Amino acid sequence: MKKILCILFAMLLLGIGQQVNAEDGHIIMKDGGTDYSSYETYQELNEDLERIENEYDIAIYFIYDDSIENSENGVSSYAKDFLNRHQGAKNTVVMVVAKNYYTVKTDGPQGNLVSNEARKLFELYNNASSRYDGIEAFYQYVVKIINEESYVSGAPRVSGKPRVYDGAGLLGSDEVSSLTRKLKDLSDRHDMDILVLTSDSLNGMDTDNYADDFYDYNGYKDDGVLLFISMSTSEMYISTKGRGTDYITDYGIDYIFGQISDDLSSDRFYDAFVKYADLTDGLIREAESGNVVDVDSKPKKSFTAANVGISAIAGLISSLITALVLKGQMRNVHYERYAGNYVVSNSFHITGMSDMLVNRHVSRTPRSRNNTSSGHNPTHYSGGGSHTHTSSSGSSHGGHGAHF
Amino acid sequence: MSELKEFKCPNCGGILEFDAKTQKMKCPYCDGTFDPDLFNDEIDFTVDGEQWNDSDLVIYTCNSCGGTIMADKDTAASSCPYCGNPVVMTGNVSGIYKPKKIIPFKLDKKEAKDRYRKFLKGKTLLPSAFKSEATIDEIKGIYVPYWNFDGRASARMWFDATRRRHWIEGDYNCTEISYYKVFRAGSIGFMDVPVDASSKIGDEMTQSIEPFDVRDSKGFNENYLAGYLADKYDVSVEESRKIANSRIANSTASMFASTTSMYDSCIPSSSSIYINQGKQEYVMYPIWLLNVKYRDKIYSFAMNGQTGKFVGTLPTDKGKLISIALGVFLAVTVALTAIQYVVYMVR
Repeated sequence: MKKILCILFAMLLLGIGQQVNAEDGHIIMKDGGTDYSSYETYQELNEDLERIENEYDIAIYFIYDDSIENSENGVSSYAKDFLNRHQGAKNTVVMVVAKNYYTVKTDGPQGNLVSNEARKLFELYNNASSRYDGIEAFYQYVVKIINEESYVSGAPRVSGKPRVYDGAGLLGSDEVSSLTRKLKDLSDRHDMDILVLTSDSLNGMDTDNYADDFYDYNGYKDDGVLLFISMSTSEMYISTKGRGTDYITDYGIDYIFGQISDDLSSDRFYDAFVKYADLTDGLIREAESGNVVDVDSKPKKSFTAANVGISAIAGLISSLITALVLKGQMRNVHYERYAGNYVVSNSFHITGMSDMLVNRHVSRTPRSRNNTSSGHNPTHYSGGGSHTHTSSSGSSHGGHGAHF
Repeated sequence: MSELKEFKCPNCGGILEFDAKTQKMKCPYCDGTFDPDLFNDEIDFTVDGEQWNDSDLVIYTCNSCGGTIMADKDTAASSCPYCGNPVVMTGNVSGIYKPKKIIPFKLDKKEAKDRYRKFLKGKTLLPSAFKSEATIDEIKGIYVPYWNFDGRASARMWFDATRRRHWIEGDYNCTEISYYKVFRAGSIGFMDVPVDASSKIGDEMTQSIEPFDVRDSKGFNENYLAGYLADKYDVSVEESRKIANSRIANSTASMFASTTSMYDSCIPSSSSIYINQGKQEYVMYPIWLLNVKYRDKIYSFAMNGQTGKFVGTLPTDKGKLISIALGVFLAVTVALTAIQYVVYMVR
C-alpha cells in the first residue's frame, strides 16, 4: 500500500514538474494537445532566452500548438491571450504557430518595429533546416531589431577594423604593430577576424557583452575569434563567432587559457598574445583539416626540447652499453668464484628442510580512478562542442572567460 | 703447564678458537663453528706421494723473475716462459713431490696460434696496427702443477624469505606479504677441484681456462713431458686448500639457495658450511702460454691444452672506443628524435 502511494506521489510530482516547465519555458510545443516539448530538447535555447530577458528586458516566446483553431482569428486571439498572461518585461514578443497559420504579437515600446518584420521572422523560422535552428534565428532577429534601436553598448566603437585594440595600454607601439601584422596575416589566411582587445574599464558591462559588442558593432566578419583582457577584473575572455565558434570549442578556449594565463598574471602580455595567435592558428588549422580539438580529441603536445632530451638519455645509455660490451670483448680473464664444474653427479642431498610462516601482512591501497587532472579553469564540457549565446546585436557567439 | 695445540679451520685454514658461549670451536675468520670432538686428533694435511728423483729431468731457474721450470734433458729451455728472460740450468729434480696424474697435451702449437688469430677476430676496439705489428714473442707448452681437492660439503642454512600475493577487492588493490623462516640442511660432493700450485702464472689466468676433463688424465709418466716444459709447485697445499674450499663453499651456498626459488625474495640470514676433506692430489695440466709483443709491451694469453679454451687481455684503442661511443650516442639520439618527430607529425 505504502509502495503504491509512493509511486502515485512520484507520478504526481513528475506531472506537476512538466506542467511547470511548459508554462515557465519560453518555448512551448504541443502536438494534438499533448506537450511534447521536453524541456531538455530546447534547454539551451530556453536558457539563452532567459538570459536575454534578464539582460535586455525582452521576453520572447515561441508557441507551436496544432490544437489551436486553425484560422487567422484563432492564432491571433490565442497570442493576445498569451500576451495578457505574460506581462512584466519592457518588450514582450510571442510567435504562435498553428497548422496553417502563424502570428507574431508584441507588447512594449519597440513593439511596432518587430510587428513590421513579422513576415521575415516567420520566414527565418520556416526556412531553417530544423525547428531548433528556426526558433534560434527567430529570436536572434528579434533581439537585433529591438537592440539596434535602443541599445547603447559600453564597448568602444572604432573605425578601420583594428586587429589590436589596446584600450588598457598594455603593449608598446612596436608590439602593437608586430602583433597587428601577425593577426592580419592569420585573419587573411583563414578568412576570419582574429582580434585582441584590452580594456581598463567595462563601463558597467559584463565581460562577455563587452567582448561580443566590440566584435558585433565594429563591422568585423561573421567568422572570428576575439581575446579580451579586462584589467579591472583580471579576466581573460574569448568570444567566438560563426566558424570561430565551430573551430574553437569550449575545450579549445580553456586550452588557450591554460597556455597563456601564466604570462598574463606575470604581465608578459605581448608573449601571451603571440601565444594566443599561434594557438588559435593551430586550432583553426586542425579544425580545417577535419579534426576539431575538443574534449575527446585533445590537441597534441608540442614537440619540445624534452623530446630531444629523452632521445639523448636513450642515446647515452645505448652508447654506454655498446662501450661496455665492446670493452668486455677485449678481456675474458676473470677469477672463478664457484666450483660448480666439479660437483659429483647425484651427490646433492637435502636432509632437512622447513619453511615456517612467521608473519603475514596485508596492505590495501585504493585503486586509482581515471582521474584526468583538469587543466585551467575547467568548464563543463557536457558532450563537448561550443555553448552559444545571443548577444545584444542578436548574433550568436561562443566563448567564455576565466580569471588570471 | 698444558701443551698449546693449534687447530686449523677445515673451511679456510684459519686458527680455530674455543668459544665458551656455544661450547664449540669457532673460526674467527670465516665464522664456521665445529664440534670440538672432531679435533681430538690434529688433522693430517700431509700429501701422500713419492719423492721425485729422476735424473732425466733438469731444473732451470730464471735469473730475472725467479721462476723455476723443469724439462727433460733433451728439451733445452732457453728463455723463461713467464717473463721472457734467459734461464739457466740449476740441477736435477730432487726432493719434490712427483705428480700422481697428468692430462697430456691434446692440442699442438699450431692450434694455439690458430686460436690466437681467431681470438683477434671481431674485436672492434683492437688497435688497427695490432694485427700487423704484434709478434708472437714466445709460445710454450707448459705442464702447470695443480692441487686437486675432493670434499663433501655439509650445510645448514637459514633464509629470510617472502612471498607476495596481489588481488583486487572492490575498490582496493590488496597485497599480502608472507614472511618465512626457511631452513635447509644437506650435503653435496665435489671432486677434483683444481687449484693452480704455481705462483708464476696468475690464478686469474689458470681459473679462466678451466675446466679440464679429469677423465682424460693418465697416471704420471715422465715421457709425457718430452718436448714440453713443466713447472714446479711453489704454493703449499694448505694455501691452495683455502681457495678450493672457498669455491666449494660458494657453490654449496648457491645450490642450497636454488632450492628456495618458490619465494619472491630469499636472503640468507645465517649459514654454517662444513667441508669434510676428501683426498688431495698433485696433478699436472697442459697449458699453452703465448707472449705477444706489441709496441714494447708484452701481452699474455693462455690456452687450455686439452679443450682449446683461449683467454687473455687485448689492448684497447681508446680513440676507437671514444669515437664509437660518440657515434652510437649521436646516431641513437638523432634517430629517436626523428622517430618522435614523425610520430608527432602523423598523429
